[in-house]
Amino acid sequence: MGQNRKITFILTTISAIIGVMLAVQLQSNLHPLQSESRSITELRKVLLQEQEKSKVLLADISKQEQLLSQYQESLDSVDSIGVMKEELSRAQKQAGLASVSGKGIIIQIEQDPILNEQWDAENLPLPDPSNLVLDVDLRWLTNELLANGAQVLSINNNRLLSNSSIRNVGEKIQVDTKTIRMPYEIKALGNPDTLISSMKLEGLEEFFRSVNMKVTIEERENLVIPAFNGTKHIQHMKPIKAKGDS
Amino acid sequence: MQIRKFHVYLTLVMFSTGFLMASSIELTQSTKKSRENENELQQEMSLNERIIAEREKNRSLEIQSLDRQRDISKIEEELAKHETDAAGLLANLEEARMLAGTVPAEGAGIVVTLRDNPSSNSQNVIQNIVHEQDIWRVVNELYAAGAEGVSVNDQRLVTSSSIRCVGPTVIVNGVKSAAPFVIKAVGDPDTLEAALHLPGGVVDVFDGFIKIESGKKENIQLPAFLGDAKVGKSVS
Repeated sequence: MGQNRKITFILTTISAIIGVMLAVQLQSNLHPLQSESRSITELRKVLLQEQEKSKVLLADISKQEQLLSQYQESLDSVDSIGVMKEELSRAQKQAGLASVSGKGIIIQIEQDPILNEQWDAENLPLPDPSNLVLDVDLRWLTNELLANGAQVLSINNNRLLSNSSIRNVGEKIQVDTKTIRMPYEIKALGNPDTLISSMKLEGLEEFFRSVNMKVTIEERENLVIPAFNGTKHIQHMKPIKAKGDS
Repeated sequence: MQIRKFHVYLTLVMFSTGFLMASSIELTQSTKKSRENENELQQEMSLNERIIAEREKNRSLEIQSLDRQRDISKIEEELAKHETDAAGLLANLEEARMLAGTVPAEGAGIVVTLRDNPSSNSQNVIQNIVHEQDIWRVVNELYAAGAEGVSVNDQRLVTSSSIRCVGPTVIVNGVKSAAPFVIKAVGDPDTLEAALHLPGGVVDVFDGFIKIESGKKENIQLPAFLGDAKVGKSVS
């Protein structure tokens, strides 16, 4: 009887060990190494992006420190106000409230008289109003320009701010609250070569030819883009100042 | 007799233990092999580590930058308290900074979410996916209704921001993100909400194609635009 119990005991122990082993193996097989589906190329891109971001952050911080020390070094309030004024003009420049200049291009979109004549000669029906330049076309154009490195834009000398809208109101297009009329003139600051070649690549001319418009692109060494001429008051937004917000 | 029975059991158990161990070793080896080669794995791991370290660093830099911003605004506010000239200046300065998007900002507004709609009745699959035009359309509509600041997937829109589709992702300010697209706008919540629901407005247009949800919020926080937007030279 005693012998029998001993056997049962040993068997139980060994079975328990096997059970644990089985469980461990099953678990490690059910949850295999968190396999990174992302390729090395993808990871490198992410890393580059993060490194770029830290560069930008460092530049931001050094600018802030510079401003801070300027404030601290100013001896009296007149000096400090001077620093503040400088900072204001910098912020206004960035917000689009000041005129800026630099290299850039001018894109002119106008009705093409030759195409119009052809249209008449071939006795085609005149383009109906829906076949004109629409707000979406101009939005597409401005978005493409910005995506290809344009820094500052204006449409018919209306500077585009961060919160500018371009939309059809009836048959007219409004930029913010200003109605614009043909011909449309878009000014863009940025590297002219990149901008011109990217606009060619995007098929700008062909696109507007389909609605009977002629596009001319000119390169300018010194292009002046005017400040936003209107009023934009911020009523609902305020800077975040509370501690601990990120 | 008893002892022999015991031996048989023991042999059986040991046999299966051995088999288990062998198969376990085999399995681990084969999973390792499936990873093309050890080298690649190591490279991936080290890349991952570097990304994590870089992210950590960036987070602390962001906090540092926010601290500096706070110090600056403290000095400016102090100045505004004592000098009447400075008070007017500060108001203009804060407005310009918020408009430029260089400082984080908050206020009442709405949150709009755009989603692909795979279960749509429409036959054309392409129409059920959110495109860059759809995002602009909403953003433009919000601006026209007086939105003062907008972010798309936590990227603040500034004068030089573009929104582009690349495959299933959208790139805003050079940063990739995927659906759903969350558009946060600060402005009068009622006006913004009404603008989206106008007859023939975006909600109408998107109906049946892509999913759009919007909700008013008492407080929306917009992040600051990171980086130095080049804006050309000043004209004197």
